[in-house]
Amino acid sequence: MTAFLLHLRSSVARWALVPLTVLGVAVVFGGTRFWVGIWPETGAAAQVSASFLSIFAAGVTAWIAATVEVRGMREQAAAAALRPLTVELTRFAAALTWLLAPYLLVSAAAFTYTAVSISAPGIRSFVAYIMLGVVLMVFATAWGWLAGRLFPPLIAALCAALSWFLLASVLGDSTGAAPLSGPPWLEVPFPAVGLRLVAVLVFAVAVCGIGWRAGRPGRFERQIAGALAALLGVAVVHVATTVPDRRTPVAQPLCVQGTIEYCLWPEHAKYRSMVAEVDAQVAALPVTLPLPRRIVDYRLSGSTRWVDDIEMDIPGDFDPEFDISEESRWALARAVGRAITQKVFDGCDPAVEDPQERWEQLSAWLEWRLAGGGTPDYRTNAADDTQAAWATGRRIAAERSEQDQSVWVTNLIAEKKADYCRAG
Amino acid sequence: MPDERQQYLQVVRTYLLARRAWWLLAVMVTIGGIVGVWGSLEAPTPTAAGSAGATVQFWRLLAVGAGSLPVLTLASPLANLEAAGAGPFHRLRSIVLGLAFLLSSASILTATAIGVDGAAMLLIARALPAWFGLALLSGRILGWTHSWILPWATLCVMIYWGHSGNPGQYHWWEFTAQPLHHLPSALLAGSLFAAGLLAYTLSSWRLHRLRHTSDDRLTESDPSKTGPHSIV
Repeated sequence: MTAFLLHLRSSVARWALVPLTVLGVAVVFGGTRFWVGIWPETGAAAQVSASFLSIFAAGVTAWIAATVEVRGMREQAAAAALRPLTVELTRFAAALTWLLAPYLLVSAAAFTYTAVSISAPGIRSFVAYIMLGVVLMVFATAWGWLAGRLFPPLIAALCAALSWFLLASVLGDSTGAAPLSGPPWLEVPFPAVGLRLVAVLVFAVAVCGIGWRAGRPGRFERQIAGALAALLGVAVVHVATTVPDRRTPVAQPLCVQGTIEYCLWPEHAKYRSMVAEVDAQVAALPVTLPLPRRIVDYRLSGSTRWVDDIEMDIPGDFDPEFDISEESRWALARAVGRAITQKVFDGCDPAVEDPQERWEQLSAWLEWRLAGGGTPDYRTNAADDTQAAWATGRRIAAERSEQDQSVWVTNLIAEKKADYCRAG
Repeated sequence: MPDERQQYLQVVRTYLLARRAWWLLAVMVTIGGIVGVWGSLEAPTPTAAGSAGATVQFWRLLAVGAGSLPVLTLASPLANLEAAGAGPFHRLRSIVLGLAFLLSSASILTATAIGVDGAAMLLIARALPAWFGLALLSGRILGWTHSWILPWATLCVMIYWGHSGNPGQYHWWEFTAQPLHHLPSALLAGSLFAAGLLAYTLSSWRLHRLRHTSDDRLTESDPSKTGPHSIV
């Protein structure tokens, strides 16, 4: 413990605490995107900072690992009374402590920011996402240490940072090592994260076990081979574990009963008030329309299943879904509007084309009213005809009186059913 | 060969040996090789503009390495001693630095022209001086061994905040991704290069001379501040 504290006090990595914390806070809170404020998204947002902090962790530890050679202390290090592995593990642990601290501070800040605003389940998923970031940081630190042993001190840090960024990009893309978001329909399983953490720690120990070339002939090469084998183990574990994984729909979602029943993922509890406001707009429609019995949160209906990484629709009737991932009132209004429109024209053949796109007009009218009016908060690249139909529906909702809107909707539905719904 | 020339070549060889020139050259060639084979690959990266993230081409990442690698020729375990070196030594340092930059640039630009496309090659050609300048700035402030820090910090800023939110559009200061005809980013790249060269020229001798000159001027303008050995 004394040796660890000694290295902690003297490690060069302590100078990285403040700048890396500033960088991490800037990454988490300095984005222009909306702060979603649910636990899994908070964890994912904090974990994103590890993608950048790990680059500097790799570079700094490469420099630290190479300092023995820089100072010409190779022979002394090899002849130390303590086992070389003990010495290196102590140095590594001290460096890792300083480099992990900024990430943990940033995670604590993200936790606090969300904790003061919501009271909802999902803290376990927050912790799981943070653990993913810890895996990345430990891996980067060990990678940098390896680079510090293999490359001359002059180029070790640069090579470590550059190679790590390339490796992390490939790893993040193919194995989910660094997810960009944390919606509640995905989960980070603790066993998978635990396995990855064990694998990178084994790799770190193997790297610390690499001695200096001044040792016995052939020993250095065997130690390098051991480290590379551990690296292969890390790769295998990352490929074999699925992170994040698709979450099965919960048996007891959070349901809000209004004019329609809305069921959400428990983590989306903060959207209850918004759902109630949209439902109030449904109740205030100037015309009575057939309504769906229930609308559920994205992926809560169970209407799809995954077979060999391919999403397949399950035949049958399922509740319509909505997606309010970033607290978008317009996204909720759009989904509810389309669900109501689907119910209105239930039985109509969707393959029959309507040049005036009355379906889209009604859907846009409903969307505008349920969102409470204004300008939609999304951009679209829909076909011109469809956008024109949307513009018509929104204009009717914005400019006409309640009575005129009621007449317009009634006529539109009747015309559509008479002309274009054979079964309607 | 005259003795003097032989001696000079010996000095150059020692200088290059102390800086592990073969390793530097190997890394330059490796960067070129990676760009030539995998330069077009895109890596997903988080961005501040949206949760979907964006992608960055490998050649943009590797250009940072190519631009900052030559500055490592200035790093040395005897840095403080070398800083007090005379003119010929510093001339040698500058020549090696310049040649290393040209070699590194040639390696990555050739690889990009062959393995990626000409447009990317021109974008790299614009970015390389900027990365080089940032590395020189970083080295002057933090030490030549740590010259990689500022370029990589800048790259993180560009990757995360450089996107404007619209697909394929970036802020004006994103000099690695803006089209070639975009003047502000070209000016920024040129300014960073110039700032780096200025930082490089501000050796401890020059700084000392500048301070000494300003002290002398101060002394001449205010007679009350004359020292014990000055002539009034």
